[in-house]
Amino acid sequence: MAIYLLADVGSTWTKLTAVDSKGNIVGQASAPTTVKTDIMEGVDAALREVRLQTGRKEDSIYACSSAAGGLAMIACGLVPELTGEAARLAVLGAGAKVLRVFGYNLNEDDLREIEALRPDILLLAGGTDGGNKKILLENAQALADMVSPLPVVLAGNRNAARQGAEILEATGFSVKITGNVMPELNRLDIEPAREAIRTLFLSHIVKAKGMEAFSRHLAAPLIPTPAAVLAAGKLLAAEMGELLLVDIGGATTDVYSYGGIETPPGMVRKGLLPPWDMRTVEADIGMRYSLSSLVEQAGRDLLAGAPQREQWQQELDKLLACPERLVSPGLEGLEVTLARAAVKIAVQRHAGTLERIYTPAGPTDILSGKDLRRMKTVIGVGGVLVNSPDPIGILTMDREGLLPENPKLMLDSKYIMAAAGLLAGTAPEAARRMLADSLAAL
Amino acid sequence: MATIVLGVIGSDVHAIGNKILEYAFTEAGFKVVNLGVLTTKKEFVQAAIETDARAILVSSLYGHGEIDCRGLREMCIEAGIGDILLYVGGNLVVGKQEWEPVRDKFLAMGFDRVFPPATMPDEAIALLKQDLGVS
Repeated sequence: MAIYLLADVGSTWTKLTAVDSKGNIVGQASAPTTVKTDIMEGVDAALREVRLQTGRKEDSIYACSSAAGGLAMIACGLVPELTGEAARLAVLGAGAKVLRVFGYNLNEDDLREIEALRPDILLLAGGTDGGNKKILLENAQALADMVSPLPVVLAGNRNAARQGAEILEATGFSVKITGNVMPELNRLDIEPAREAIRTLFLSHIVKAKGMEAFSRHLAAPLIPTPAAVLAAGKLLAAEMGELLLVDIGGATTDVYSYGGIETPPGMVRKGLLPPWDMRTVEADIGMRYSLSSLVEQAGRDLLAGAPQREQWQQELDKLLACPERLVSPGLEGLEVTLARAAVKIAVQRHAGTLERIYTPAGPTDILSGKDLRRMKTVIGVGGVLVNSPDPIGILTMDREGLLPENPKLMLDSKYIMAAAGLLAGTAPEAARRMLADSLAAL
Repeated sequence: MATIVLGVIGSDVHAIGNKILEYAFTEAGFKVVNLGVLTTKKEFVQAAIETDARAILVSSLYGHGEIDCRGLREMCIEAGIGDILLYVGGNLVVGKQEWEPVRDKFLAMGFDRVFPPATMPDEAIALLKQDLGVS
């Protein structure tokens, strides 16, 4: 039976999982990611261990990576709520980190900032098809004049795309033209841009030493880790119906939703129709490196009503001072409270809004963005949940706004989401089996 | 093909006339970006920017048109599309009022054309073609 090796080269750990063609896990090992020397050192160390477990060499290797900070991008659009937002969603959906989103004409400060941030890829959008051309051409010219060459995915008004690309290419930018992220007003079409970003990720983003050599061993292109998670969730949603996935990390909290784009009868939908499979990342909501902003966002009554409030406050201060620290035994409740706040804030930001307005014809509800109320399942991902004594407490959300109303709660108990996503395209049956083994109902 | 932005402004949910206008202007050869009912001034302006529209056609059927439409021209100027054509039509004010003062009020607000109740689409289409210099 064939053995697939699935590698997740993270910023701190390189995690390898070997599965057979049915999706049974036959080996697992991890080693510190060796990003400073050559990432192959860490991969080889883990690989040797996995091969000892399986007793033989694997047949094919698939990999995703978030090493060296992952894929960092900047998005430019015209109106921030329209093509700016479409560009942002495309970048997030490709599994990249959004450094900045710019709207309207790039000014000198913006260009200086782009030069300083040096994104891996810049997504240039603006104008609907047949709509505004000026912004795309002027921003292309400004970038060409003021910024050193970068890989650019150009996903704006198709009537200006070629000309915009030529302006950039003249000064040495490499440009990939793809479909407009918003071909018509309020209609998103981000899959072509996502695909182009994932392709460029491989051909241009060889930041970590050894990554290029590693990618030559792969059976499919290396993809950003969040793109693998997105693919795994998509596979699950095809089977289980509308679902929400929350990945709580030390620095960020990622939310993925599948569905929630229908407009309930009697409501009026406004603004962009969000993508069916949508990813958002909260860079200021995390359990360690972003703890101070999480605590700030959660508000003053975060610890209100806590049974050991003073002890918790002291412990929280220690965690804030030292992000590497583990919560002291007996105070796990604090971690639950923090993680619960992270879930609530991240999901609230992912969800859309519902506003009741009073018209002469009676009250009318205006819906914008994602409606998560009918999500059947909420799946928790991440060490915080797996190691928590109370994952239910973390994932349970109050019924308010557009948050899930009565979801089944589940846990990715073996932290298998990214690995399974790597197999979603080539061996969906095996991927499903891996997910089924890992998902635990709460 | 000229792009136009169409919508019903404010807290107004009258959808039928809006659909008829979308149909009529599309048939007449315009690319219609229809924002539908309950449209804010900001949405009209943003849509016009992104689609490079040459005219914004505002409907108001519930009598609050005067309050809802005030400031639309100024917002366009502020957003860099101050030259765009602005049309408005419908039951713009409460009750039966004399037409001329109502029209003048909206012209003073910066609208290029103001249409009384029961105007047929053809009339507005002919004027729009004339104003845009298209046939």
